[in-house]
Amino acid sequence: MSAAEIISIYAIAAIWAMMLLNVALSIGGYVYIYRCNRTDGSIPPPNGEYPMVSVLVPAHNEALVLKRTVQALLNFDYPADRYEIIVINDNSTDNTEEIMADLARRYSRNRLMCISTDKVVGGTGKSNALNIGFSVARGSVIAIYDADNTPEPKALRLLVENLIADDKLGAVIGKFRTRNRNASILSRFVNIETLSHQCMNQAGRYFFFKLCTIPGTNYVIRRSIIEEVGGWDVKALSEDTEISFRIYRMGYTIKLLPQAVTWEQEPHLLPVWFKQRVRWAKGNLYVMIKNFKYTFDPGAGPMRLDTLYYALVYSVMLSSLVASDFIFLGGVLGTVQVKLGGFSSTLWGMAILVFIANVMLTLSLERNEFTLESLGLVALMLFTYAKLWVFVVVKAAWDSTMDVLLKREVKWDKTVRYVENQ
Amino acid sequence: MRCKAAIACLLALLLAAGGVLAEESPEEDSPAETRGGVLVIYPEEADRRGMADNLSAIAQTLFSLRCDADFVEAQDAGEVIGLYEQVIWCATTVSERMDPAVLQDYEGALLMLGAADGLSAFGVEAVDAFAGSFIAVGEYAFVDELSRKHSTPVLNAGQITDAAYRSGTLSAAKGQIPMASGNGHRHYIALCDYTDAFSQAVLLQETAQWLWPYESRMHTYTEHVVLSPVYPFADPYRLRELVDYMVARKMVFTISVMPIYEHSDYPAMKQFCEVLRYAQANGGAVILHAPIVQNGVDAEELAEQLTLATMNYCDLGVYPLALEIPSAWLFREDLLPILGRYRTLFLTELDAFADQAVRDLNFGNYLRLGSQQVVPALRLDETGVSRVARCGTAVYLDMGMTEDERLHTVIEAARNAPIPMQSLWNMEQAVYLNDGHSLTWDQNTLKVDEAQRWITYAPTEQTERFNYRRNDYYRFVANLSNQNYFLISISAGVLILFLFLARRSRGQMHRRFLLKKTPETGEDQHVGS
Repeated sequence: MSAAEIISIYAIAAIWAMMLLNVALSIGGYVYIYRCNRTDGSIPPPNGEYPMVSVLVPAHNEALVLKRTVQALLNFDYPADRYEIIVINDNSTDNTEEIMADLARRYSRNRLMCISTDKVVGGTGKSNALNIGFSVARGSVIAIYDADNTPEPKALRLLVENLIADDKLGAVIGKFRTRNRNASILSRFVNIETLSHQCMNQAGRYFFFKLCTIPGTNYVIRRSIIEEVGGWDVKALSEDTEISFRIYRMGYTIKLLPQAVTWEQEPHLLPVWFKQRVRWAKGNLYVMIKNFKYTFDPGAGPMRLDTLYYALVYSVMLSSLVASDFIFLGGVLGTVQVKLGGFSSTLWGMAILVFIANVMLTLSLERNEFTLESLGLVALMLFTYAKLWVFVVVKAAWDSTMDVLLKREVKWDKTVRYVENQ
Repeated sequence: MRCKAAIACLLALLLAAGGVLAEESPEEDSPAETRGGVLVIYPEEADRRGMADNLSAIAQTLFSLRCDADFVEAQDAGEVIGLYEQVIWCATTVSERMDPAVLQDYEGALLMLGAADGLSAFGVEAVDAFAGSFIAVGEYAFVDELSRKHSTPVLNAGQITDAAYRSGTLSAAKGQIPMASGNGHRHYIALCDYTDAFSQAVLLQETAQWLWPYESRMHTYTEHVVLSPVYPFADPYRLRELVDYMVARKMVFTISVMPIYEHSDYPAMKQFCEVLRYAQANGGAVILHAPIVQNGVDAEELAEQLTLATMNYCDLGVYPLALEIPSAWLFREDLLPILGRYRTLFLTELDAFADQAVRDLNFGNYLRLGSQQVVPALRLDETGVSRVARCGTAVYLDMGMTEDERLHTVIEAARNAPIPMQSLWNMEQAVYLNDGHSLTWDQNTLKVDEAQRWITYAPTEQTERFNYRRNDYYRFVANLSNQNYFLISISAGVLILFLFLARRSRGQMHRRFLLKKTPETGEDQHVGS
């Protein structure tokens, strides 16, 4: 058997194994969200007292979107005297500070606080900004929202109610939706991707293993945890994933609450999207390498499954996709010959159908998403958008390697925003 | 000892003298005075497709008459024209005219085709009534002396003014001229398109008249009746009926079979070869049809394919004695060595796949006959006007396109032709293949790889249950059909489950956003519009 044939068998086995794993996660996620949709998610505190919440909003050059975000945060149905909003204007070079000053004048200083950093203490990334915001936060519960978010009014209340109702929970995360889904075909793809990801990966893992990962926005976390872990890891580009792992190691769990929804602006241009995804992938690689040792540590709890899952995605899935693409290309060019019998074109057709059905199943749980248009987009995604993931991870792996070899400082690439038609 | 030394000295002297004599021999350095065959001169940069058709027709005509042909562009003709005793001047295209100055000092036999422009020095005068290019009505009497009419294009046609020989007529609105005219060794045919059967028949008869004005050599040639193309997956019973039909009429015939490279042990192949063995045992011969190649022919690959296909047939008692090729291959210099391995070649017409190749053809590279015989193919036309009844050639019976009734008509036409039928078994045959394989028929002895074979036929029992190894991927290094089946089953189950779940969640969405329970009755009611 030639090397190409061994690699082919590996790629086929890996791709199908990952696909079946995702099918199982989708079914679990479906059941969980289906059950959640039967309720409104509210668990009012028995004594009617809501804890003090500090809402942290890190903002670096967010002038285009920040005003809308703050207005949405001020519109929470959470008791007004029980939450504060802390915007960390992190060394912005645009007019974010002016906008914040204007907003601070218009709203009570007790509810809205703006901290501006300079290039000496700020501008090094989201983790650093959160740590600065946390240093002045008064709440026993910390909520995090990105500067481009417009959460629904009930989102904060639902998250906090669920957090305080269960002492085992370290954090509760909500769902995020794409506000600008119709901006371009890319933003439509992103919308479908985020919905299916949250159902398949987040809800599915939570259903089976009580595991999910903080998504970076629309979540609440106990202040005590932040204090215990010493704040956010400033070296991590995916500070959300990194802190998730630490929460699990402390024995807490993270709950997904799909009824708590925020809407956010997603990249609608390919270069912006690519930059953002490379940053995420770099962050995830960092977290995976940092935490992989816990995979074999029985004391690490269920997070071992997560480190294993990340390792599978970034090593097995990536390598199998790259290998299959190269073998396909080599076959077309006639440079690679694979003599593996027994695989029919029906199977490939079924694989495509399963992929499409899998994504459509996750969309069926959302209002106005289970449409023929979505069906066409999902089919198109398979051959276009999904292929980009390989390039993203390869670029991220290359950049991470070069960062280590050249001892470069990890750089936070800000996602560029744009003005939406409201 | 002294005697031996004397002999040695004598031998040394003889060898030295031989060397000196060899060096001084004038014959080694001087070029041959003449080169056999006919030189065909054609215009430079002419319409390649049209010219290729005409040159192919001329080549096939000359092959029919067992003459070699060399082709040269007009600009290069001056260098070689003196080497030939016969020259054909082919001015049949409009796009480029040739300067007849090249013929100025030529004194050999000259056949001029097409436009009469500039040929007055050779006795040909253009006729005003035929100036320009248009369609004229040609009338010609073949050897059966029955005149036949045919519309044919002409281009500045003319005639030899003091012709001692005239044949046929070309009629236009304002006049009439002979279709062919001649005087001594100068001969002229006014037709400019030789792609149809009528014109080809005229060309053949007039070329024979030009080459041998005082004898009728044509009738010494023969015709081959060829069933072509014949595929193994075609109905073997139909082939058997046709063979029986011809055997009953004591006809000799040839079957052109398509090459088979693999699965030669399949029942269909064995059944097919049984019919072929039956045909061989009843006087029929088998030839191999060239592989159909769409993306250009690679000489090395072709040789491999021919070897494989020929040996596959030989293993089943069928012996392809010759090769059938597209006529365009004769212009391929790289293929000529492979074609030279066959004693007999059958030519088919230019096919669609040869179009691209024709544009790149170098007519200068052309097969020379030597001891080979090349049998041009012809298809019978509806009117019966073709070379079939005029000369030796291969009559093609198109198995793929023709109904039995028409095939019978065509067979009868070939049978009633004045030309005797020829069998490949009546001639020596030789086929040389790769890896030293060979197939020869010499002195009534058939040999494959030097081992004698006999033509035999005995009906065999067909295997009812043949293992086609459909699920036996023996050529694969790994068989994953079980995994394939497993994954398809899993996928089908997943799809069904997903459909069920999607339907269920749509119902939930419907209840959440479109229906709301009424407080009084508890029944569903629509919410909003």
